[in-house]
Amino acid sequence: MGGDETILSVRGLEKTFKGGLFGRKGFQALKGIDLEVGRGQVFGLLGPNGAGKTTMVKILLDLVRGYRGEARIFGEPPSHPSTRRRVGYLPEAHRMPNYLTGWQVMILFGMLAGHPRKEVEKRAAVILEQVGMLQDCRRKVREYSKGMQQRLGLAQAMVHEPELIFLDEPTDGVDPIGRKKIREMVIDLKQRGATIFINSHLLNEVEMICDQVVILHHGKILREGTIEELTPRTGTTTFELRREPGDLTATFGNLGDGLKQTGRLVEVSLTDEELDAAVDRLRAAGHTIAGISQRRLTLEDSFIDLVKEDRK
Amino acid sequence: MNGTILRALFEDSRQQVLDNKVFRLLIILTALPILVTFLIGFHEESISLLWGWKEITYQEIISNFGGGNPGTEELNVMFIQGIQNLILLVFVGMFGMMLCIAATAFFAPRILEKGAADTLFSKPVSRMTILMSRYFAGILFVAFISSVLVLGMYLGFWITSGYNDPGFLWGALTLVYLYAMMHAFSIGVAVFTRSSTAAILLTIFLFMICGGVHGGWVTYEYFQEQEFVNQLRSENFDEEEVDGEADESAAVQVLVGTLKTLHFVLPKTSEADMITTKLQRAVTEKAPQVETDDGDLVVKLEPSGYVRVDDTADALETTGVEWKADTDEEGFHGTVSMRRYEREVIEKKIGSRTKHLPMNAKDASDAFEEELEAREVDPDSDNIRLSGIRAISISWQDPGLGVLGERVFFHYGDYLYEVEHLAPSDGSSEEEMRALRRDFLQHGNIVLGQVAGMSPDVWFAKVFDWDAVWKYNIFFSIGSSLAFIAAMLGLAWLRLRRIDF
Repeated sequence: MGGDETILSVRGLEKTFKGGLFGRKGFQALKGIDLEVGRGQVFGLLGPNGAGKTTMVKILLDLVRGYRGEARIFGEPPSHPSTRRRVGYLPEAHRMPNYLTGWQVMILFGMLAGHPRKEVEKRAAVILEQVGMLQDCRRKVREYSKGMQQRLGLAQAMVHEPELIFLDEPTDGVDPIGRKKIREMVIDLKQRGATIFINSHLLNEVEMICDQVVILHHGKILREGTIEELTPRTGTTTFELRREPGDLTATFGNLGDGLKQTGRLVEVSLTDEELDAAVDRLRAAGHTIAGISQRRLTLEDSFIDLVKEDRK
Repeated sequence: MNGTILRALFEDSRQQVLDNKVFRLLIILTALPILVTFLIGFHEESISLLWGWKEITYQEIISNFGGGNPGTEELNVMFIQGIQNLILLVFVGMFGMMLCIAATAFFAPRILEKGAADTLFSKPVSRMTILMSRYFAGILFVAFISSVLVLGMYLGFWITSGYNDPGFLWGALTLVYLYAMMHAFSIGVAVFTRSSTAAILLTIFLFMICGGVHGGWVTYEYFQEQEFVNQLRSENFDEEEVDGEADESAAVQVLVGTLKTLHFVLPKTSEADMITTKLQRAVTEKAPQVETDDGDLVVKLEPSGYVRVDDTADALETTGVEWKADTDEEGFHGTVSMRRYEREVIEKKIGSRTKHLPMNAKDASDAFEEELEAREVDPDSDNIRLSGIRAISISWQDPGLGVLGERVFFHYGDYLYEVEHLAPSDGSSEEEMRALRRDFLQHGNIVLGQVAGMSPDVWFAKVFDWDAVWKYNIFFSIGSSLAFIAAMLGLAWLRLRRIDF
């Protein structure tokens, strides 16, 4: 379900972590995942703890090896160094080298991605400004707060202008203002053509910025689709009227179900076909409609429903 | 991988080293002995503090410790070499090495910690390159400290004491070599355990084990050799007995087998300083002028301004080893000669009793004094020290022959030695005679007893050489230690490539 150009794909991806003294006890983290991500997408990977989200990202970054199936980034296996040159990564609970300053971290990781120092220095200043860390970049990482470290982590993931960025819990530990800034940066990156792959527990944030979402549970994909597809309408329509109406039971008659009135708000379950008729009846009865809204399931509702269903 | 990545890794290593508190502490500790070498001058007669602010003679120092007349003019060299050995072998080679291990053992575990590893290993750099960058970060750490220490001390002794020994500079390399072995093990442990504590403790444990195993193996080999030599001497040579294992119980055989295996497998940390000494000699020293087969006597250099004129291997015990003044002018310009004799047993009156004892330096010098007096030459006697033993110098002037002469007597082991210097009295002074004696006989130019009465360590230092049999061979020592380093790093790499971060 990618865009025009697939830049990330996995087929039948399986990974079992060996445990126990002789590696006999194992834990299967991924149980055959198929996935495609197109260029320019903001892709959300959701799932409860232990679903296999981080394992999948780490396989794609060659941090976890010994998997079955096929994983490709830019058409190459993850072990190929050239693929990782075009990828940025913000790990979950990362630890930047605390003996370096924020600036040195940027230079180190930019150069490790193979970019010349001067080029990295120019880019580092811009990115640090974007994440609001330019003023503090000459301080040692060990002096940073959790939120500052997170912002630095995000900055280092972008310093070499990657085409694909993996963000594992990018807003973890960041205050609301910082979160908003990160959201804006993600949107900005998308507009500049980068592909963003987000792992997050904060479903409302994923809902706000992701184009495509996959829900993982116990190493399997439970659902995959756009935000629209994953958050269907509940069918409940709310009419906001100019003036408080009297009892509308007669007006609606047999149209729709579950009519509720709260002041100027009227809530009723309608199908798409019934909606037009409901508008006509309200206007015919002399009511002026100030607004109409159709309630959808939130991503959180969908996610919880899916996981509960899978557990059954 | 391109140069940019290498530069990034190098810079990261440098920052990691500079940020290390133990590194800063070591820099301060390193500065102390260097400071001592600059502030204290060791001269022939005295020690000067702060470039002459206070002078203390060796006589005063020795008197304070209840000693008598030092009787030597090479005490400054002894002091300097003593300080060099104390700093390099004990403080740095032992405690300093442990501090370095403790200071760098976290280099590898830190990059393997959860969170840190993810960021670093997701970059387009191979795992082995990252690992090696940490290995070389440690080497860089120790190379810097040891270079500063050794070069600083070398310059300090040279500038303040006038003692120039370029061979001392090899000490820096020894420390790096020693550390390279330990650090490879530390990296191996770190990759397998991903724990700084385990890396520190196990590496220090290995360091001590290596020393113990080496000491045990040397002692075992020493006694094997002694047994071999004894059997040869008693002409009761029997191959089975020489082998020394026929009579050993199974337990002893297992013990010896384990000791040998450990010795050959483990890095040869204890041999590092011996290699330095040999390297120093190979580079800075010529073949000795005289070296007896029994190892009793080594004369390193010819007397200054003289050239060797005899070319027979057994000259020392026959005609005498002789050096002539190095000049093209005709006539007599001076000679130096050296002989040794077996100490014959003579009758000596001690109190009212007569004893039969081997002739010593005093007996020989007394006899020579009498001989000079018979020639109506007035001798002058003086006690000196030579390579740690007492020697007697008899000097004289013979107006009839027109020569100034000095003969030094000393005995060591089964032999009595004589060194005679003759120079024309019209072109030489007594001061020049004394200066030649100091340089030739006293400033460490003569070494006595390299082998005789040796301990296992001394014996091993003697047999351990570039052209020795393989088990005592320096190339084998270096080769097997490098193999250990390669094995440790290889194992670390094999483990690292399988780690799921």
